[in-house]
Amino acid sequence: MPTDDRKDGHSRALLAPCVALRGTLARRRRCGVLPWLAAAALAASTTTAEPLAAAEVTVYLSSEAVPYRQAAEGLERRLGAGHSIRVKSMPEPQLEVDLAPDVDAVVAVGTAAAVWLHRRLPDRMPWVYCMVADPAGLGLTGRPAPSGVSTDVPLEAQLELIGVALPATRSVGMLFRTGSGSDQDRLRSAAAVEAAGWQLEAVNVDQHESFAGALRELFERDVDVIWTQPAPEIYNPATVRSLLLAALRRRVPVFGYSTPFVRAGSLLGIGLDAERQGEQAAEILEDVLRPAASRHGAGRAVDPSFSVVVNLMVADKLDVELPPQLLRRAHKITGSDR
Amino acid sequence: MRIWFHHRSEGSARVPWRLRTAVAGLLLVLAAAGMARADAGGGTTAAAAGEVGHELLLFEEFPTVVSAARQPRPIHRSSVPVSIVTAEDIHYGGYTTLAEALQFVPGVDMLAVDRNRPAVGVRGLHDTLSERTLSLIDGRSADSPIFGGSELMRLPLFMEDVERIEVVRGPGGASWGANAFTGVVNVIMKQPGDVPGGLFSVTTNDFGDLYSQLRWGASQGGWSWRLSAGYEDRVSSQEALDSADFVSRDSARNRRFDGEAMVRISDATRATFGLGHSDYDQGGYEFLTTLPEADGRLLTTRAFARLDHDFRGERLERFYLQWYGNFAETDQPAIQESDTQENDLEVQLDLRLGDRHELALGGNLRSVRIDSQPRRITDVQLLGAPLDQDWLGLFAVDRWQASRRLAIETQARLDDYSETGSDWSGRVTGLVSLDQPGSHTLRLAAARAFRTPLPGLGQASVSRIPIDPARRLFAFNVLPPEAELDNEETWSLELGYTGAPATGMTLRLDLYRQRFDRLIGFDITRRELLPGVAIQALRAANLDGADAFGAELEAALEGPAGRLTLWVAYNDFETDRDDQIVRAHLPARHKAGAVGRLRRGDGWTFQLSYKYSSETPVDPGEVSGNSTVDAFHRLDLAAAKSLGRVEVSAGVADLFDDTELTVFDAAGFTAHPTPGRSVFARFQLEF
Repeated sequence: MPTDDRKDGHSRALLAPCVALRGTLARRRRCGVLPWLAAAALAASTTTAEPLAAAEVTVYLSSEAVPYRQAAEGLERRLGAGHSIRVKSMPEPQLEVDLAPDVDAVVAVGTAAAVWLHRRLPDRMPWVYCMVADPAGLGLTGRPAPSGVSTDVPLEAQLELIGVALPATRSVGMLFRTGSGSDQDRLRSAAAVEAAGWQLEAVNVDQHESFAGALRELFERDVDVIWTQPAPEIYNPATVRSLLLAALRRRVPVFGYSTPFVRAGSLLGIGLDAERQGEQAAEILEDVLRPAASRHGAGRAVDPSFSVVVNLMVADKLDVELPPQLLRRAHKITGSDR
Repeated sequence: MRIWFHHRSEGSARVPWRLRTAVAGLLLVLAAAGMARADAGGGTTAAAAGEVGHELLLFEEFPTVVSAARQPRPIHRSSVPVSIVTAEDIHYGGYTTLAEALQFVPGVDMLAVDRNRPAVGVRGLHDTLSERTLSLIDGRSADSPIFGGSELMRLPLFMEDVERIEVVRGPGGASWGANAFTGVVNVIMKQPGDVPGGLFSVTTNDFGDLYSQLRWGASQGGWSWRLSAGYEDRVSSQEALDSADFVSRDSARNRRFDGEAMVRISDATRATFGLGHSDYDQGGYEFLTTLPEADGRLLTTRAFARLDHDFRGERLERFYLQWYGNFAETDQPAIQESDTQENDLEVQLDLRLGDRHELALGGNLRSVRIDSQPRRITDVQLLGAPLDQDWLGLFAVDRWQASRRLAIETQARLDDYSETGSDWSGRVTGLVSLDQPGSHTLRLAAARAFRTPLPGLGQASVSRIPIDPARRLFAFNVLPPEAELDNEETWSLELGYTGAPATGMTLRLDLYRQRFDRLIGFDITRRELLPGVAIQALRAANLDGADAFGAELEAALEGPAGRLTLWVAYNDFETDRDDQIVRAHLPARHKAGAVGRLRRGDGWTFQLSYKYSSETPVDPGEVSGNSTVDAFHRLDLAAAKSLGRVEVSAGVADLFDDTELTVFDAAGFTAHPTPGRSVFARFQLEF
């Protein structure tokens, strides 16, 4: 299981409710005055921060997809009216960045735009990104890389949630395909699951004639929960539906990687908000644009804010009693259709 | 009396039935095989998505429908059978009209009376105005307040702006009120923020028709909007078929505008506004023996404002308040000149009672003003016009998860109409999961709905074929009813199954038995004035009822590379009396269809749409010698190639040229062929 140090590294994320609750209680027991001191320090820092000068910001979207637009809206709202923000769609990847001379900073929304800007923006130009999956794998961490917010909810936080919802968990099942992103997920997941003291049962979809065959093997391994991560080479509406139906039939809970996934029939999962991604990017951008910015945070991938989602109808079907502290913080789906 | 123009050119000799079936079957098998191969290959679409990061997967939604119960429900757990025509079906089919898209839906009958007047009905009873199927746009009425039914072609909307069309099969009055009698067609439009950027689209075909659209969507601050404008030009059947064997005036020019804007007031509250207008010139057509020389002009304006609030609370979930207005100026020379104004105020509150009840409560108040003063001797007179009418509706929908395997949905609605008083609609549905996860669901439902006579039936008077106009003596008359018309009523008993028998495959079977009572038709009296000169009078009246029963079986196979849907339907309808007029076509008894789409990774997408319809029985009491409509096969093939921001498409509609049919409507004594096969091409630019 993750240590408290690890959790501190996720300061911007809305950590799993149990983690937050347990951590807060523990800290308060150790030193009840610390939270108050921290709050006072935060207030002081806020009041003494230098005002942010009006800036020219250009936002590049990876495409016109709605979530990217929503992220741009969140960024625009968070930055406020004092700045001039131009939103552009990324042109053909081979083209050069065409920036106006007065641009102070650039924001990339989505992986494609981030990769493109990373290759082409001059070093002097400050920029941040959001809505990017696996920024480390793309070389967007470490200096002189930019900072930004990823879509990767820490695996430890996900496992923590599973542990709270299903304390009897000993083995976690997942699907992957050879040589794909899901294969890399498998390797990362194995370490995290091992750290949690559990066993990972990963099934290679490519070793089966059909997706149904892979599911059969997964269930034959007698897993306690199926863990899903966003992998387009595996999950689409048809395969998600097949997985959820088969899992319910065998009374195996599924951890969904998105709110729609949970709404469709997972027991619990996590949900991202595209606008919140934009807001988080704006917060990083404000730091970058401050005159006294030392670029200490350069190359830092911030974890995303996420919500915990539970499907009460599925819990009912599976006879799972979810703990009250989880239910209090979670977005609850009460019907099989919500 | 009936004059029947019937033409079929020498060049369009029919392809033998066996050959047509064989070709259609072969194409379906090829489509399925193609999908299977692509599936085995790992999914080109998924791979393509993976190239740019998979973050969008985090926001991908799974399909739900709203037309069954006014709330989102997964389609396989809806309380009434619903089929969906998706935006992709519309786009890759190259459809430019709602009727084209609807014809491939299970259980739906569609015939072209002429190029301006598609007759679309859920399980039949279709005619120029298919008044027993309720038409909605985003839940807002799209029907004529004079006649009921929708004139689909005059609606100010664009097919590329349609998110999906939900087709409810069976009575839907418990959710939507009066006149959702045999079914509901609800057109769901794309949200303003869903279509950012510009789109220019132009479609043409070998007849010389033109359909164009220019759209601009954007978001700024808390606002997002979508604006579309376009021009449509259709040649007449006579021009399209280049025929001298018949005369038709069914050409059309339509200038449309449609816009929608949304502003986010807070995280939980948003307001949406919309305005659409169409200016539709259409050639005249024969109505009750009169064929006008002048063109008709139909102006339609639709507007709405809606406030949505998401409580996100333990008990209260959502709330909306909506006003909408439909305003129409209609000048149809053989029928009437009329102005109609509808204003509707609607409210709905969604809440939860405990963990097991989901409740929707609401109501609407609608005022209708109809002004129609006859200017020509041929005009339909609406007695008492101008008319001011009011509607009040109250509804409640409760979904009760009674146990793990049993959900019971109860819908009840009371409507009060100033002309016919109060009536109610209801639906009770039990959804039983046959297995614990609910992968096999049994549905048992009973429903009641009603259709109320509108002024076009209850207060209309028509005089035709003058004998002595000075004395208002005509040979053919439609007179106001002698007694006040009662509502038509229907009860249905339904049994359904939905399941997922294999990976990527869904199956749906729906059986129904439906009883209709007090169906409104016409009593006919004939009086001989002089030898050889007779006066015939029709009066609307509640005649006898009818029995309908049938089954629809739908199977869908979906993989990363595409989707294939196959369906068969049996829809029977028998009137109590052999000579009973029902003012509409009866459903074709046997129907079958398929829609297959294959996406390839290199930017190509192929779509195949097929439908078979057995012969369409005529209204059994048809007085003027109407004939049945022939059985037909229709096969549409289309291919689209994406070249970045440009997409080019081409295809052929009705490959077998089998829908070049002559279709009489209930108010016509003449008819002519409407063209079948056409080759189309489309160019689209996103900017």
